[in-house]
Formats: sequence, structure tokens, C-alpha cells
Amino acid sequence: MADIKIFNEIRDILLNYAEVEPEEINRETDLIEDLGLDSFSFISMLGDVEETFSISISEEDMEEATHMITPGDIIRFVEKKVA
Amino acid sequence: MKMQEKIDRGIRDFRTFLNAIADKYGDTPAVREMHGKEIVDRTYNQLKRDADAVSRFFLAQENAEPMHVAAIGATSYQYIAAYYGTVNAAQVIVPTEAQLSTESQCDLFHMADVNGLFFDKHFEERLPEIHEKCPDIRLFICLTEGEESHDMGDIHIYSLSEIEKEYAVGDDITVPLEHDTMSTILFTSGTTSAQPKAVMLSHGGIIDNIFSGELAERDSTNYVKLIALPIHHALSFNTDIGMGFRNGDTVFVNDSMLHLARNFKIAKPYTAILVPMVFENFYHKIMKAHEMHPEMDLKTMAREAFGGEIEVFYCGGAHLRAEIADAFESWGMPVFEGYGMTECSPRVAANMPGRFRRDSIGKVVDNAEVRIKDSELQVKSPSVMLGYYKNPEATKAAFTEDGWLRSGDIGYIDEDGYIFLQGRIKNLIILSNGENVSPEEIETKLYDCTFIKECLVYEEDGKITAEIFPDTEYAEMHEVSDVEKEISAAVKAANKTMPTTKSVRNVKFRYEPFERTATNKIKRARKAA
Repeated sequence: MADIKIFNEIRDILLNYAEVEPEEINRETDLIEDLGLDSFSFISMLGDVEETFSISISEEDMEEATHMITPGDIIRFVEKKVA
Repeated sequence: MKMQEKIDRGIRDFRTFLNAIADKYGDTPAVREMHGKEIVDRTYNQLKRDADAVSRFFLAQENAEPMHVAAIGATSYQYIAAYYGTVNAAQVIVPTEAQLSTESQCDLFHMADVNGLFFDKHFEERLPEIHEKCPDIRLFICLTEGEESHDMGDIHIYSLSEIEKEYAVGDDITVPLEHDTMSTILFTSGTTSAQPKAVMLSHGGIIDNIFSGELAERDSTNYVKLIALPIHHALSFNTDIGMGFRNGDTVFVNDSMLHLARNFKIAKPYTAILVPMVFENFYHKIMKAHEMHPEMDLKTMAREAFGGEIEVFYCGGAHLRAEIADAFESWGMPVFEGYGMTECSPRVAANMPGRFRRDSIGKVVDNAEVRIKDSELQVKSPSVMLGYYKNPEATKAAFTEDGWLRSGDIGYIDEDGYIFLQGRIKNLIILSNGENVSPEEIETKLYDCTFIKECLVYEEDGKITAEIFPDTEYAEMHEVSDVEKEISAAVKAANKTMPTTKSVRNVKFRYEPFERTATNKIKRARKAA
């Protein structure tokens, strides 16, 4: 899937969790510092990422997944899982 | 199962409890799980059979002393069977938080004299390090279903699935269990301190707590409850699962917080115990979805988000904001807040249908007494802990001279017996996910940074905040031009060594020392409830 398409899907997911305008989210936006995601929103968001991209985030993946900081990190994670 | 039946059946420990619920609920599904996309049920009879097999396994080890068996894993049927099997053979289970680092796990293992370990398969790669740091652990049992026993270097790994088959047939378990026989060690920050403490809970204390309230009348339809709290917490295993089993419910295991929203729709539960953070998140999502589809009925949308069958929610761990509680009530899904302490197995007070008061934590549960002494809420109950393991000083400090458990919370009781909290004596930050964070624990970590002269950690606007007085003289001596940048980097590094929920999210700098008490401690502001 093209990088821009992944980014758009991820941005749409993040808009469910943050009170911001779409243009305020870019690849380097900090999920916690800029978007204010709390720990449960973060996990819930990952659940939406799983469903949207039809991937499965295993317990082993969680270690890496919970240290993601930006949409860019999520894009790279999804690309790795989809490949 | 009502209190009278508990008495009639002679239920006084985990084993008599399991025998009674298997006898009464038999082939009703006790635990329901998702294995991939498949729903898998295990009945009460099956749970007893598997737990008995685990008990036989432990008794076959012929240990002179009860083992202390740690458990690291997600909530699962296997974890539940392992827990019952362990304690029913008079061994002690020591659940720990799965997300901790190996080093932190080992600290807890040493604190509780752990010599056995249940673990989920994906944890296996950490065993060599655990084996080296904790050489007393001689029994390693993999919880994950379908795994085979094997060796890993000089570590032999048992498979719980194989134990359940191999020991399926055998004598009834008759090893003596008393009310005060220790069943469980749980870790908590307690009322104060930088170090967690090991809380010893007894068979009778936990079982009494499971029966610490009469149930409303129900019809015979099978009820499903969703269990989503972390299983190493007393509120999960004792209250959520324990009381569900008492009722003959089917407990639907939420396999991961990633899947909570999906699992509500699959499980269609009548209830769940959640923490305020989860209620807040669902509330925002539902309101946002309704904004995008204003033509749809809000109440219907909200109810469908939880599967459509919710009769009541329970909330624990922290206070739920009135705005959120009101919204859920308007959607026909009232949320009842309760209060407890790990040291009390854990339920102390609860609101419930027909017995609730706004902003209170409810009335004291049956079989317990509360009082307010010097403004502090204190408890007397058969569910109170046996003490802190190998910590007589802390145990003494947790009780008054006349034997009441100190909660560390300030409050009052109104004329109808409803309890209201007003603040905390203890220095704990309570997050909206129910987690208790000790500021001293975080401050100790921050003081590793030599550029920090003084620091104070507290909660501000829902975030863990560190207020720091830099050592500018030291920074100058070491030719550090931007001490704030140096300290901010150190805070980020400290955050990496702790679970994300304990991360310092906000750093404030000050350039004068903190005010100190008569005993030269930094003065902390007393936090309102």
C-alpha cells in the first residue's frame, strides 16, 4: 500500500482520539506530547490499526508497538507487518 | 450463590469454593475466550478437573514447605486454572505485572521468596536471565495451551497442558486449608514508600470478600461478564472473576486492551468492571461517532458499543468524573463506584443498584466495619491481609494500636452510612487507569541525574509532573551550558526504564529550593480527592 494511503488511514484513526484538525497531524507529530493520547487511547488506537490494516499485533510486537512515538513510526510498523 | 448457601456448603477456602461452584454450575461455561476468531468455552466441571490436576502435580513434588509460585501472563483460562490448582494444594501464588522489566520482576521474586514460575510462552526468552538472577526458582511451567515440555539449557520447562493431562486422574485433594492459610502474595505501594510491599492474603480472607455482599435476585438465564482488568490485581482475580464464579456467570476474557471494543460486541456482557480511563475513552469515541452521525439515536449507539446487553457497570481504581457517570446513566448503563485496598482482598465499600449515593464510594461491604479516626478511614474485616511478607515494621505501621487497618485516605461517613473520600494522607498519585504511582519511587530514579539538586513528583492536570531545582553550580563546574536540556534528556532516559504509565509527562524548573518540613523533608501539598 502506498505510504500516503497508510498515512491518511492512520491520520483518520488518530482523529478519533485527539481534538485536532487533520492538518495538525503529520508524520512527526508526537502521539503523546502533541495529541495527548493517554495509555488506554494509545492501546485502543493500536486496536483500530490492527483492524484497518488487517494485521495482528502479537505480544512480542507490543513491546515495539508501545514505544512508537509518531505516525511515521506507525507507518513503518504497518509496512513491516504487511510485507 | 447466596451467603446462606456458602455457609450450608461449608465454603471457607478456594478449594471448597471451587468444589461448590463445580457442583452447582457443572456444565455451565465458566470461562469463554477467543482463540483467533473461534470462541472456546470451558465449563465449571472442566475448571475443577484441570485445577485438581495442577494441585496433584504440586503435591507430587513432595516439598517440605509450600512453594511460592510467581505467575506472569495475560488473563486466560490456563492462568485461572493454574491459580486455583496452586492455592488448592496449599501452595502460594505470586502474580506479578506482566509489563515489568526482567530486573523488576526479579526484585519482586526475591522479595517474596519465589521458587516457581508460571509464564506465557512469549516470555520464555527471558528465562535464562531470570534463572541467573533468581537461582532459587526450580520449577518453570509454561501456561500457553498446546505447548510441549522441553529443556532450555539446564532449565526444564513444564507444560501446563501436559500437566493437566498427566495428572487428570488421581486422589481427591485433601491437604489442610484454614481460613488464615496464605494463598496469595500481591505487590502494592501500600500507603507510602518508594518500594512495593508484598501483601499476604489468606484463603478465608479472599473467599469472605467474594461473599461480602448479597446478590440481587436473578433469573436462571446464563449471564456473561467481560473481564478486562489485569489479572495480577486483586480487583480482577478476587472480585471480577471470583464474584462472577460465585454467581455462575460465564467470564469472557478480554484477550488484550487492543481488542476491548471488539470484544464487548462479541461477548454481549451484562456487566464489566472498568477503570475511569476506559469509561472516558469510550465516552469520547461515542460522542465523536454521534457527531458524525447525528441522525442516529445516541443511546442506541452507546449501548451497541458495549454489545447491547449491559445492565450495570462497576468502576474501581479511581474516581469517575460526574459528567461521564451521568452520560452512562442516561444511556441505561449506570456505573457504580466502589473502593478497596489490596490489603483488604480488596473490597471495602461499594455502591450498587438500589444502594448508592452520588460522589460516595458506597456503604461498607457486609462482614466489614469502617470508622473515621483522626479523619482517616479505617477498616476491620476478616478480609484484611495477614501482613506484609517479611516486613514486620511496615505491617505494624499499617494497623492502629487497636487493630484497625489504616487506609491512608481521609473521609467521612454520612448519617446513612455512605462513605465519602476527601483526600489522601499517603503520597500516592492515583491515575485514571486505577494505577497507584509512588512519587518517591520516581524521584529516586530522577536523582540518578547528578544535575538535579532537588525534585518533587506530583500529579497536575492528570499528568505526572516533575518539578526540578537544578544544581547550577555543579553544571557550571562540568561546563554544561544548558542544564535544563541535560535534565530533560535524563528524565526521558528514566522514563524508558519504567512502565509508560509511570512516565513523567511534564517537567517544570524552579530556581530556588523547595520548602521543607521540620524533619527536613520537601513539603508536599496535600492532594484533594
